[in-house]
Amino acid sequence: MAAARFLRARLRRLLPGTDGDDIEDLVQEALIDLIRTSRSERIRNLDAILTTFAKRKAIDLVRRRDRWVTVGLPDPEAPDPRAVACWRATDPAERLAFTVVRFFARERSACEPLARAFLTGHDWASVAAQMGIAEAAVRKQWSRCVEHLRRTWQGGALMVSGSVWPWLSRELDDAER
Amino acid sequence: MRNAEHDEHAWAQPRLELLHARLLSPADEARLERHVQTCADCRDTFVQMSRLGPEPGAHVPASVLARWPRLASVLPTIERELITQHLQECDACREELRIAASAREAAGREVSLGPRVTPINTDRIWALLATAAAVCLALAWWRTPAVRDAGQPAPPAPALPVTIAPAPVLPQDVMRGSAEEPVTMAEPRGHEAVALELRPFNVADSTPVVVEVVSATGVVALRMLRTQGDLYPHRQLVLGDPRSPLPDGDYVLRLIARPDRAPADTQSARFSVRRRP
Repeated sequence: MAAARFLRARLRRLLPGTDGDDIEDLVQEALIDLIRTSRSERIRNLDAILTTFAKRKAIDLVRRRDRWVTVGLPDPEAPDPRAVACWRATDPAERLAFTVVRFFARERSACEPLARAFLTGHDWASVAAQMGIAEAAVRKQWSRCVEHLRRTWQGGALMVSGSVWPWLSRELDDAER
Repeated sequence: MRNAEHDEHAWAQPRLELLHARLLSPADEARLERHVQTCADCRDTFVQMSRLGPEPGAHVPASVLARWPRLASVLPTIERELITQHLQECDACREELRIAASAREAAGREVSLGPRVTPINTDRIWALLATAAAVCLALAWWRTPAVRDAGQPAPPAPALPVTIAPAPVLPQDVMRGSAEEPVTMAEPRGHEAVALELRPFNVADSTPVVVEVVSATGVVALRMLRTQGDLYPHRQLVLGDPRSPLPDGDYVLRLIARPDRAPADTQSARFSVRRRP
């Protein structure tokens, strides 16, 4: 696969001394991004877009590791240190967005559009105007959704070795304010 | 009739963002989709919004999908369940997972074919060199497609489902200079060459660019092949050969992109070389 070889060579040059497994993970990520991009727009120059993806992925890896340290999430108690390294290389913001949206889609569908609005940065006033109800009512509804999320997750569903995603409460509190 | 269309357009415009975020009621969504199909302005706006990025939570994050087999065992239970459920429902994510796994498998085969590096013991240098030569020969033999395929039939690498546009677009107005405003030039100190100041190319790719310097008499004084990537993001193009510097005179610099096409896309600018006394 020529695209994978190209990405591998670029990433090795951008991240000298990085573990081979990490490089390979970034190559897979960039390939997935390439496929997703190609679904929404035509790719005019493959070399150029692969070079861009390689640069972004190299920066992402460094940022993600810093972000996990910042949010203070303990590593899962996994016996395999490589699995822990995998965990720390994932994007916490993307994981949170996916989990929240999918959780509401499965458990409480009325909350799903509000979760999307929250994650895309919509203001509650415009959401309320569209839904034809008062802004206070939208906020109340979202507050109930968040309460349900907290109750379910902190009730054990999300507990892994005693750790709940600690930044979630802070972010949701900020959003409610 | 025109008023009705105008009203519909005015109703639709502020709701496009909500449609993108899936915040509309089913009735409004259907109405807006009908309008988007007929209104070019709204369609363009909606396409632009779609390009901003996928809606959050629509698909499994790429960072998770790329590490899925190893990550599955350490993810929180609910997250693992949601991802597994989504993978069962979403054809696109399953396809991406399959391609990522195939690429990893192909990479594993390449690595397994490569030589292992061991520390060199200076006392046994000749023995190691002989061993290395033997390993190289063995690898060369092993990497011969017929031999490799006979021993280990490799499955064909999957093709990426990516559509590539047939030809890259030439960036317009790539040069600072024009007929009205000639390119600025300077003579680098200590070098018999000229440096032309350019606008940077906006595409850092490997599209070939033929750089030609033609004298006033029509003789091609210099011709070289570059890529747009070579010239990006550099703002200066250094021309000349220390062994045969450009003599004083007037020249035309031509940048010919996509020279294989007829007619090629050519942009040109005039410049002069005057040696300082």
